[in-house]
Amino acid sequence: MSLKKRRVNKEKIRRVGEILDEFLIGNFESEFPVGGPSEKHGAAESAFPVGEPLGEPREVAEQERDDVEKQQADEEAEDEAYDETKYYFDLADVEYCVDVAITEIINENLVPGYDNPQKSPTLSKIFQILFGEEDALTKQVDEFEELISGYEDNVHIDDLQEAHKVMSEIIKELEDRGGKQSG
Amino acid sequence: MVDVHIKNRLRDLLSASGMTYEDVVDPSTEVVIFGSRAVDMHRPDSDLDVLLVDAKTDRLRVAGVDCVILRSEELASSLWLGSELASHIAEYGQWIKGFGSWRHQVRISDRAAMRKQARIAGLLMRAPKWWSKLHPVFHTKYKLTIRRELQRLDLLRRKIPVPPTHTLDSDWDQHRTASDYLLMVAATLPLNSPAFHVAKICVDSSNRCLSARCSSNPTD
Repeated sequence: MSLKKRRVNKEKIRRVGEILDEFLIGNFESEFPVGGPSEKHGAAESAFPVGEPLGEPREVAEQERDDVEKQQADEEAEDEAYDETKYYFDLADVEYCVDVAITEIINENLVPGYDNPQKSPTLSKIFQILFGEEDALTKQVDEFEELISGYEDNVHIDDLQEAHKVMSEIIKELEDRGGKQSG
Repeated sequence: MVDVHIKNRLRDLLSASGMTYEDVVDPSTEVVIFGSRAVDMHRPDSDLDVLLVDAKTDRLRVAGVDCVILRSEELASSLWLGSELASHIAEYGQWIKGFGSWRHQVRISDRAAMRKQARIAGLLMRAPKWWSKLHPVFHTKYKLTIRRELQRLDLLRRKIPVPPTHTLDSDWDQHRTASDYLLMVAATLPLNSPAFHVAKICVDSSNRCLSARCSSNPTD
């Protein structure tokens, strides 16, 4: 079925953005380690002393210590790499987050024809109705859904992080199209 | 022999997305149709499920086509040969191109059943937290999904290839799958009491024929 763009007022578009921000981004950030500033690495790095230690030119000993530290760091990195639970999340969590956001959109009657759906819509379907299949926003939502579709019922943190980024851009665009609310 | 209608449908769908049949089929060493359309038990809006081996791209986005793309070396891996999808395609697939010599080596692995178990447990354990926040249409979706996944888990544990979703629904609607039996399958999962309660709701006999009224997933 070809879904044509319908006229939707700006207020509704803005409200869809607000709901996605509150329910999707909000739940994503509370359920998964995404969305925070990427200072983690920086903070860890700044904890190490920078520059040459003063008055101790013991190059050999330092070289040995560096080697040991490097080996330990490698081992730690390896251990971390094998802790799958840190990087993979259950697809069910993601699915519920998205469907709760869609529920809010349905409950507020923001999508024409979806006030009492008989079939569960996807976010992509909702955007197709609001903006048309070819709209850049709909394509961004497709990309979001692709990122959260996971592999073997798990979603990798990198994909979640990217999905969070894409959704934040979508919300920003909805804000622009809906006209920012003053005050 | 593949039904000419399936080939034509693939041709039409590719063409609608600006591709030619030859663009996709010629470079691939195997092209297999699976899912409900392969057994002619599809709904009008069912996607066409296609396995492409050694396709010239890693990803193919075509409206109405659900593509799985693999490299030929992956077909020999135990991960693939033991998977739910491999067993499904080996049993129900319709080869448009290639012969699928790998299909004779397919054996459903314990891992496939374990993965399905984890999937269902994940859905059920999290359901109590989200259930009240979901529109009833999503309750229907999750009830269907969980019931179908329990049917699939049971088959995988018995090393039986999972049939297309429509067949699962048909077995359910015609009482070939008993509610009590599925509840026993659910009872083997690591669930707490609220999650098991959701499982009971999902396999409640009153939900029969739900599948006929709605499809939870456009690819089903």
